[in-house]
Amino acid sequence: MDERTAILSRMFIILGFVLLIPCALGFQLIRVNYFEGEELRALWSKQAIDQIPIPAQRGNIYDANGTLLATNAIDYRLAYDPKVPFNGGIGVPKELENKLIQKLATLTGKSVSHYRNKINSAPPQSRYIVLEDELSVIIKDEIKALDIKGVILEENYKRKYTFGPLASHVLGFVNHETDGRIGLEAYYNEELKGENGVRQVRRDPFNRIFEYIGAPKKLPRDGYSLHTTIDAYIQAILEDELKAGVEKHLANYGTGIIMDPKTGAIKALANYPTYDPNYPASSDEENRRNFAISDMIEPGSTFKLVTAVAAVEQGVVSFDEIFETPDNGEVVIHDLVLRDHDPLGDLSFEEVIQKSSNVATAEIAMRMKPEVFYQYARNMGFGTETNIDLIGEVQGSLAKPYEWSLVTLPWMSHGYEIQTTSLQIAQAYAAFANKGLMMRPYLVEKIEDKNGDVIMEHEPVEIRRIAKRSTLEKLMPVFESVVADSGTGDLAQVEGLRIAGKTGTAKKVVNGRYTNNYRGSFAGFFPVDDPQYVAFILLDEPRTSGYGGFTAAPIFRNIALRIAGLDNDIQRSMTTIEEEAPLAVRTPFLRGLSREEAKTLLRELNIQFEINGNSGYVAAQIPEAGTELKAGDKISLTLSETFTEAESETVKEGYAEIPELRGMNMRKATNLLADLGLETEIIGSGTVFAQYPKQGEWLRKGYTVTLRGKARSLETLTDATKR
Amino acid sequence: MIYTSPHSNLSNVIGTTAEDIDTPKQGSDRYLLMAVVILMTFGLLAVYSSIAFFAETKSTTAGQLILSHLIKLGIAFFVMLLVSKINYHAIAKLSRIGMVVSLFLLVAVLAFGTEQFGAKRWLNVGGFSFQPSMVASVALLIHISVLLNEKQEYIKDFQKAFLPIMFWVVLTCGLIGIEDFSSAGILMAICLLVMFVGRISVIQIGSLIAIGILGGILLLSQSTNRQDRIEQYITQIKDIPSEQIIQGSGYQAQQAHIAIAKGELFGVGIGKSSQRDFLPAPYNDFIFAIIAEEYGLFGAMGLVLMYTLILIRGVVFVARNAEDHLGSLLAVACTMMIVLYGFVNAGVASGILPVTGLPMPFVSYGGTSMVFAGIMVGILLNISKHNRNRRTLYYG
Repeated sequence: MDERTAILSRMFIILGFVLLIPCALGFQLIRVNYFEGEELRALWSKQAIDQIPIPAQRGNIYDANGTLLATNAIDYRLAYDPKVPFNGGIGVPKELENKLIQKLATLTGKSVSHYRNKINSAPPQSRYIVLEDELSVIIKDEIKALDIKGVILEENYKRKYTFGPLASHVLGFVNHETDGRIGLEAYYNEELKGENGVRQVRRDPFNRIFEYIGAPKKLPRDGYSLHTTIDAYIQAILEDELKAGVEKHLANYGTGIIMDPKTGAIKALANYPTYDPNYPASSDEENRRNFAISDMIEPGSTFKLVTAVAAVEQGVVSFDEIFETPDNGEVVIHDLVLRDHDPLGDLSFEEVIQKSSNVATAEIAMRMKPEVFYQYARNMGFGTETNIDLIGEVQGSLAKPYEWSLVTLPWMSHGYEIQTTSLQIAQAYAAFANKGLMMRPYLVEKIEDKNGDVIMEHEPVEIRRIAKRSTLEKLMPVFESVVADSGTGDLAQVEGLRIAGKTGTAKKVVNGRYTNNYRGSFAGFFPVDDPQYVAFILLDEPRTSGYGGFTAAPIFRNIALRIAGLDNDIQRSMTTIEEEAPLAVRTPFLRGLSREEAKTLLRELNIQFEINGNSGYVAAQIPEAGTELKAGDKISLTLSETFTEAESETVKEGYAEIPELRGMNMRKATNLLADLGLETEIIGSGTVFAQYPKQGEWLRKGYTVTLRGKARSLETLTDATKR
Repeated sequence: MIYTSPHSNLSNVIGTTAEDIDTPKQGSDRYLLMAVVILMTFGLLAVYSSIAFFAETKSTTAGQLILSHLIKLGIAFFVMLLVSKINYHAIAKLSRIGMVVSLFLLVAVLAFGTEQFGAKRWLNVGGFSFQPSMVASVALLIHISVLLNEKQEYIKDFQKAFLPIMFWVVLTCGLIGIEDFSSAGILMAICLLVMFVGRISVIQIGSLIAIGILGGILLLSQSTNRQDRIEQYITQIKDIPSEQIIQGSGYQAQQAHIAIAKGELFGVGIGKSSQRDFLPAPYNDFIFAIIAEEYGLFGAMGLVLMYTLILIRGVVFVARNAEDHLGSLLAVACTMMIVLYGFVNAGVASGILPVTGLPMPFVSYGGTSMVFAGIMVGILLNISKHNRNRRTLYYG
């Protein structure tokens, strides 16, 4: 074999071997594609394809009239990518960046250096620098008009509460993930939330979204809308009056509920202080608490409704009966002293409720077996949740009869040794107003989807009949008398509007002891003939007076008056009341009353009057108090901005002028003195016939005025007008 | 079609004597040229598709990088045409000087080289950086072809033939192997193939391979990095891990597999690769995977066939028909150098070989390999002009 042949043959041996490589490559490619392909491709999807949600819009919340209470606002996040490829180069040119920052600064009112710092302090390779988180549509459009590459504008939905704090405790608020935290937002979170859609995206190895793949895999379903029973007007009235009341009486907080007794629909529910659900974090946590459903209180005298219903239905009390209460207004029951607010003397059953005698109420209750009384309390909804559609309701506490002590029944009869929520009391009075049929309170009338198709509609839920219709019809005038002039709830009166209700004054328990701090409340409804509105008002620790009749009842009155102004039916019934012939009376003492209070008092006395001045308090009256008035006589009042300005020369800081108290009943006199910052010492009971110091003298605030009472004086000034 | 024809005035251009300028009567092998152009086109598209992220890290744009790639392609193509004009006998005369210069460069890179990806492989001369290992590889292959040709009389002699040749081989591969084991390995393999073709005793080569394997094991034991690669290679061959994404060692091989699987038969389309974001150096070491993804099984096999075409043209036509032994040996060396680099790169990307960082000639992004691949094809083209059969036809 010559050299050449040898070289060639060796060459072809090598060629043969090397040719095996492309064959091997081919086999390998086929193997990877066809035998491992499926798994590898699945692996690719796993690493590079991701699913991101397309957010669903949260449903709106409307009031009963279709007014929008909660909706979504769109705002924009502005991010900036300084490293975006730009005209073949990389990065946004400096002059464009400056233009962007300057424009942004003028639009938002922030400084140029604020944004400059944000860009400079970002990590060096960062391609996503957030400059603003919540830009309005207007600013967004301006920025977009600049048309600078590298500007990223992202939409985000933000929950918006149209009227700020209005109905905040009902609506609740949402967290950053727009999940409801409390209120309706939380209770109906699933309905409101909707379902997010799904979009497929590709991510790069740094987990950045790279591109969207095709059309959305699943479209979002927007949340359902809630149509609530809340009436924004009534809600506003309630909040307005509650705020005024809390501020006037220097209370810790106030709670109010207004509901429709026929259906259980909550027309308004408020607490003051309140908060703005648009910015929940900027308020105290305490302000966000819905006291109406989550605070347990000892109700006090409003609970006498239970005693009254049970006693009348059980026939243990007769309307002719006279209850004699001791001269000092105290009885001792199993070594515990039970007091009336004033010694009340002999009382009919109606007067027991009207004047709120604890002694007599306890006596009536003790005529019943604990089990019977318990059953009535239970039937009237105490000790169980109302199951209103809100989060955070407590059930209160109603002990079982076998857990009771000997004094439980007499004390429970006037609202102690029991824990209730404000809503439970409102519900019980609603059942009373509805002639015994108790309805479940509720807030959402209807749930609709985006197209207006009804998803859920509320049917009023009858819980039970709490007592016979006849029992409640018998009690109606009794509770109406509470609002009469001689009743504890006289300040709840509205001319021409028949109101029934009950005041409540309860000592607060702090650390297991009764203190001298009170809760004043008023539960009532109107019009009595055909009750449309039930309202419960509670003030916690009012500093002016503990009495519910003095603190909560006027709030109720104002609310009733204003609702009457809204409600055509009620207004019509009020205007058709016949004018009664005026009676000859003596002029009442009006000095110190506010314009509204004076007007109300005079109207009820059917005394004609004229008022000089627009606001403030009555500083002078002609004729003086106690003068006999004949039909047609007029009282002339002069108002002054501050209580004592008319006699400003004699005003002393920290002192109060003693008013004429004679002729008033004890409770009213006490309230008046409390309003002036004076303490009261009472000797005897009934109507004040002597006082020390005398009218017109000045006394340092905090000092004591002594009042001597004479029981059951029939010639008292106010009683003279009793209808 | 680019066609190189005899040109008598070229001597002025390149400054060689008239005899050095090749003036045969027929042109060079047009199939080789065609294969090179197709490879370059594939490479251009795949590099453009995969280089965007690299551009980002270098604070430049894909456009600028692809421009530099195009310039390198142009230079390589020009160098190829230039070399094809130079008679390979003239190049052979300079082989010893080339060898010595290369060895100097190799020593220089160890002393002054710049580091990239954890290895000192680049030498920067006047703002122009290149890989001396590439220069040395080409010089060595030319030189041993020359030596083998010279020693044909006593080629079976261990002392007179085997040892002098092995001296250069071991010296060069050893210097390269310090920093770049896989390049040294493949160069050694090509040298042994050429020596085999050049009629060196099978026993001598066989013994050397045995020693080489022992030496390889010794080298392996010194680098955990290499051990890792081998270990990973073994698991990868046994079973392509497809249950879950591997992090760490084995990640590259798996991502390359995913790329190939994703391409299926016809690929995802030009510039639509997504695996380029998951593979390291997709424009270089794993360019074959990107091509498989974008152009599918057909595209990848087409690429492999281009190298196979070069192999067959280079061996069956150019080497077999070369006018002398030197031509045959040089043709085999150049062919093997180009084709084996291409096959190894494809083998790595498709998972039949352990992960190494070898470029794919004419396809990968990278100047030095491109220019030297151009030189090799240039030599091949020149040899193809000196076709003994044609000469017989023309002159006989």
